[in-house]
Amino acid sequence: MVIIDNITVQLQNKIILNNVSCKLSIGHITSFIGLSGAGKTTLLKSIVGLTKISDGSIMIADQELLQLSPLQRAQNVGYVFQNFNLFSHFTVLQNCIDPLLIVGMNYHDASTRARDILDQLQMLDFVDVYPSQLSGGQQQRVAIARSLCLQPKILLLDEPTASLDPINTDILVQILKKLAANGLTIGVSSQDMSFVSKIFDKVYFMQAGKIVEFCDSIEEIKNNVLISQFIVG
Amino acid sequence: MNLSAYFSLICQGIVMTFAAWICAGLFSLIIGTLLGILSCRRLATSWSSVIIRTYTFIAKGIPAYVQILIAYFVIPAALGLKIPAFLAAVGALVFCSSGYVTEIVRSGINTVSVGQWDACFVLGYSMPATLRRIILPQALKNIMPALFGEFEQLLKTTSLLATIGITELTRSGMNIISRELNPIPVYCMVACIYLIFSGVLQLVMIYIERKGLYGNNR
Amino acid sequence: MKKKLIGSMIALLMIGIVIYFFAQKSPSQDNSTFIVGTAAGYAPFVSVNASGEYEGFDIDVAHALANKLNKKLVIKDLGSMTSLFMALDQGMIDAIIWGISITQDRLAKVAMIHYYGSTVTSYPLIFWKTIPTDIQSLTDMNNKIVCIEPGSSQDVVLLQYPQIRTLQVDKIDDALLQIQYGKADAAFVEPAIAIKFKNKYPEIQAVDIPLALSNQVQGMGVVIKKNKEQLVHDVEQAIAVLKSAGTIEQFAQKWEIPS
Repeated sequence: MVIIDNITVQLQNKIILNNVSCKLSIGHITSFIGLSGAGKTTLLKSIVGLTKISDGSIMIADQELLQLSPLQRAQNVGYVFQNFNLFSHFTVLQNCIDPLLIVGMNYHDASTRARDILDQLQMLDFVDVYPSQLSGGQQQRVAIARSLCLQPKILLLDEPTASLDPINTDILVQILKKLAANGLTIGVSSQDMSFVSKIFDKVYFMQAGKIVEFCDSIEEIKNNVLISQFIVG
Repeated sequence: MNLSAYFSLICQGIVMTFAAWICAGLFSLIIGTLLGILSCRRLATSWSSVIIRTYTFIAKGIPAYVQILIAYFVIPAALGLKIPAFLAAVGALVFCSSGYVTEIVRSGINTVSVGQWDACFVLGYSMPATLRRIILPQALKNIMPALFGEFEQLLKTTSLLATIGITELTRSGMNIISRELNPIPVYCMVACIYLIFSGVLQLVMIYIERKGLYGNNR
Repeated sequence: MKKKLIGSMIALLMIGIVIYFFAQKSPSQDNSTFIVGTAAGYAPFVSVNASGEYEGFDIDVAHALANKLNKKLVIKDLGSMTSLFMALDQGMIDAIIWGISITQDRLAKVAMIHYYGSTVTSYPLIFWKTIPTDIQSLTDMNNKIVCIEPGSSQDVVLLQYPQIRTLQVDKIDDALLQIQYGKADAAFVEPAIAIKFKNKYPEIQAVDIPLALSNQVQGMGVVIKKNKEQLVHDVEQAIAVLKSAGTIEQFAQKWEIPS
């Protein structure tokens, strides 16, 4: 559960997020949509601490984000980058195991957990392969697996379908739905309306650093002028 | 030709050259890496940047020969200390070489994409862990050739130690020539020995590359 | 695990090397020692023999001198002219004994005590195999290439002959290669060097070039810092004794140093 209360983000005298408040609920997939520059990515980055907020507060599972240590934060919030940022000098397995070794887990347990998660994402066959040898969709699944290894309660994905073909997009949809059903809180930023409609659960529509619309039912979307325009135009 | 009579002298010269080379090389690698890390784009503060850039400017701008003289004569006099010749010489070599290594390491780290730092951040890596496990291995892969080049250059620079009386290999050769007046065989032999050192270095480099300590190429 | 092992071995190696060289005793500077600066690689004056010992004309002189001064001789090898004078200036060494020529220029800056050599009125110009016809003075060498060692007395003389093309060699022994292979027409050297070359290579031919008065060198001297008056006095006396006993002359004959 993530509660964002009135946050403002400023970068070099430009206001990127302006008094934004929203909520990500447990077991739901919350999507943030809008044109480029609307602030979707910045919002996600603020939740994980990559971007500093200049005002307001972010509560992660009833705790202030700023009061979490880096390790606590990592074990609560996972983040999947648009370009994955996999460690190119590590194999798929090492990518997933290394963050666990950092927190002091022994190699055997780390390996077991990593393999388990990779298996669920159908990447177990690729454990000794290097990221550069994988396709875009495969790399993304490794990135998701790497984040999930720390067993966070919240998972954020930034423009996850930007470099995916339709088949891999569908695979991603299945994965996210299953994770949500297992109780994860999921946040997604996207410009891909077909993807958003497939994972549809809750949607925030953003424009110029503000949240202007919120929908949590399909019927509402059809009636919502701004969002319809966004889908069509 | 009685070069064999000078065998032990030549060996001493080899040991001296080798010791100076390895010592200076290792120390300058450590110092250069530290300074390179501190001055990389992601970690530099304004004052650390200024200090380190000033240092590399000086270290690269003054010829190694002059640095050796300064380290052996000027600094001990200024500090009122007596510094053994070998220490002063190695110190000067380290000062000089670290400047180059700092620049090499810094540019290597800067070529690692920002995303790698971000990924470490979100995964809860501490800064030392980020550097040691993720950034440096990737940076090192890129700068290996440059580092080896600098190490090789250092080998040749050790011959400058002759000017403060250290009997390294080149000087041992010159001593023999002054007694026997046989420059060609002696210089050829000295050249061969330097080439052997260089050759071993090349082999080490190839071995490290082959072993692919840092995994696949991008 | 293996990396840690390698790492600690390297660390131990480094520490070992540093300790080894720190443990090399540096000469103590008290009144019981006479620290002489010199540089090996300049036979027959100073060189290191196959067993690693310093030997040569200047070394013998240094030993004899230390004996007379009742002090223990410590030889400090400084490698080059620059370093020797810097070390003298900083008090790292008490004196330089390295076949240093006594010139007016030098006497202005340091004290020099003559120990051997008459005033040199000419320097040899050496050629390989044949002397071009009619070389009698330096002006006859105009537009030809002559090898010299930078900073030497010969270098100073040639400064007055700008039309002679000079070729600088790091050590005068390298001049042998230059004239042998035609890179230079001749080399302008110390008399002792000319003899050394001639002994080994009969192809060496020499012409003696007479020197102007201001260029003449009054033999070689022990170099001591001017303000060390007591030492200068003591060394002067000791050298006088050695000379009258004929000791220095014996050394000169042993090492074939021309007078």
